[in-house]
Amino acid sequence: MARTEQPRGPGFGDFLYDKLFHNYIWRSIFRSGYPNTPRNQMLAVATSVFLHLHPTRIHKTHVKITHTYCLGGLSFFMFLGLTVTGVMLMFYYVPSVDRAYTDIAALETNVRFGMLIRNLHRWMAHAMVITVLLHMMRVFYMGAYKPPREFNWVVGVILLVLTLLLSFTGYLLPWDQLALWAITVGSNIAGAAPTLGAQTRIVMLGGIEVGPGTLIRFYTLHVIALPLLAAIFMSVHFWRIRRDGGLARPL
Amino acid sequence: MAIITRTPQGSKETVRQKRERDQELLVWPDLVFVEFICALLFTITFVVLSVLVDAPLLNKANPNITPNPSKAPWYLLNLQELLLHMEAGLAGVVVPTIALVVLIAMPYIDRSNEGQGVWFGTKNAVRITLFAFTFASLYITACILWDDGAHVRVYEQASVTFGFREEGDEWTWPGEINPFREDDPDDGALSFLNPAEGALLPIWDFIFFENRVAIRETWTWSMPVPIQPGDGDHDGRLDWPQDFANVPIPLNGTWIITFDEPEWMPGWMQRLYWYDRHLDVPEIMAIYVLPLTAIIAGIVIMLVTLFKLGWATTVRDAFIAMFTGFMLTYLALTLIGAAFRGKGQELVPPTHVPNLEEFPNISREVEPPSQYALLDAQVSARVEV
Repeated sequence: MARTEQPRGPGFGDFLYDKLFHNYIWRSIFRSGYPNTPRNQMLAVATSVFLHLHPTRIHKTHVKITHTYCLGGLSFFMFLGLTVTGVMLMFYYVPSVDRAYTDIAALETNVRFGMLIRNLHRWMAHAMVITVLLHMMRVFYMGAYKPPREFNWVVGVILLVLTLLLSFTGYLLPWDQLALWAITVGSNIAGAAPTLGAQTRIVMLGGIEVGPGTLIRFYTLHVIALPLLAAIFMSVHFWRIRRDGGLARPL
Repeated sequence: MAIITRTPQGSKETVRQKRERDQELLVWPDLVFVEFICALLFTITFVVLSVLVDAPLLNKANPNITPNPSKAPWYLLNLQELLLHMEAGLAGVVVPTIALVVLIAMPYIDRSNEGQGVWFGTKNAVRITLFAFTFASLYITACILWDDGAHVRVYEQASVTFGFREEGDEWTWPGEINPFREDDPDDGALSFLNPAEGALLPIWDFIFFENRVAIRETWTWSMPVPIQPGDGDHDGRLDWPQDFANVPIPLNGTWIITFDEPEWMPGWMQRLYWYDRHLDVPEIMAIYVLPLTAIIAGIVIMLVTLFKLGWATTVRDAFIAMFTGFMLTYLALTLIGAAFRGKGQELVPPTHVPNLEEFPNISREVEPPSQYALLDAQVSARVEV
């Protein structure tokens, strides 16, 4: 990449800056220099895989906190936090009827910071349902679902359903009385569907009542299938924000 | 930079807004730092919350001990609450599915461009939201209290207090009503009003049902039928509910139309056919018609009022009202299901403390598998504390 910055000045700071950000190794990782000029700031966003979902420039009203209250971003943040804490929980958890409850009990008593990780996972899961709902309300009351953003609203509703399913499947995993009976109530609701209710319930539970089959089914859905689906729909969701011209503005 | 603009069908209007380069900020640092601070704040908040409040862990799952009440996760409590007021399939699957489909279809129905990108951007949006919020709160509360029979308890209390009725008097609610009143009204009918005549009386009685189930249990009337169609015995009267409890579906089995049992179909498809259905009309009234009427009537009354008032004029306005009503209903039903439902899903105040003896599952018993001897000791130590 062509060097377009000015030659360095005489001071020690300039010397240090040059040594830190103009060396071969730094440039192999970050193509641009330190983001202290508009050009480098735009490059920092555009050339980073983590930041490139952002545009390089954004309308100034959209940066105001009261415009979005960061709700969509917070939902994504919850998803990331849940992934990290969830992976940690998976180290200690075996999804079998014999071990599940003891594993959670042991995680709380035997594992350093185990209780903290479990608490974080649980509270962030509840928070994600709330932020997703609030995000939907924000988008609605701002009329941000209007053309050309119709399809992104649909993707958003799908993500809401996926969030609820993720939370629901995770609810069973501690295998305590709360989990068992909440899932029993929930699956009875699904089982009341006209005509195909009984079949739906058997497919969902892997049996006629909540048991070992249900636990492994919900575990697999919770740790692999639903997060993957959610990640795919989230990618589409974020991509479409950019493609549809960023956040909605008055015409 | 050329912006591809798209126009919706039948409209010349440009959909996408123009970029205003002079109004734009750089994402780094202006947005990235806001996001960073937001993430930092929430990380701290959640760590503090998790240190302070522990996630619940009850006893090991035991299919033989059913807690009372058994509750779904909180975000499904609204469906569980709905389940108390209508047929299970309707409450658990049909109504939420319809709500989701309408939610998804919304941007394809409301295609206007006005008011986007601003909080409550259309004219009257705030007052429509507030109206829908208030209306839905009152309507949901009224419906739930009505189905719980709260008005009966209030009337019973008030009638004693104001001296209409002695304490402990025999009194049924609403006794018997007879829209085709021809005999003496002293046979226990409408003992709280005891009116002679009046066309409005059936409606009055209807409002003063104990709840929706009362339509097939305590609401009875009898109508003389002079003509006797077809063969067989009958007593010359049409009685609610017993004469309506086993009605064959119209025309099936007559010379006009006869459904045969489609045995070549799989069982679940056969169930779709009505070949030998008999309708329990009072039951259908109680679990389908009345709840659905309540839902539809709520939406219609709200929208008609808004349009009559002139506050709502567009599709967007109607959706603002319906979406607000939907979210409020979601919230209110969740709240009622979470805080106001006690043992046996009875309506109780949130301060209600259940009697511990009613909860056999409170007794702490853990059965860890023997191969985890170490864990065994630690878990029981924890549980005993």
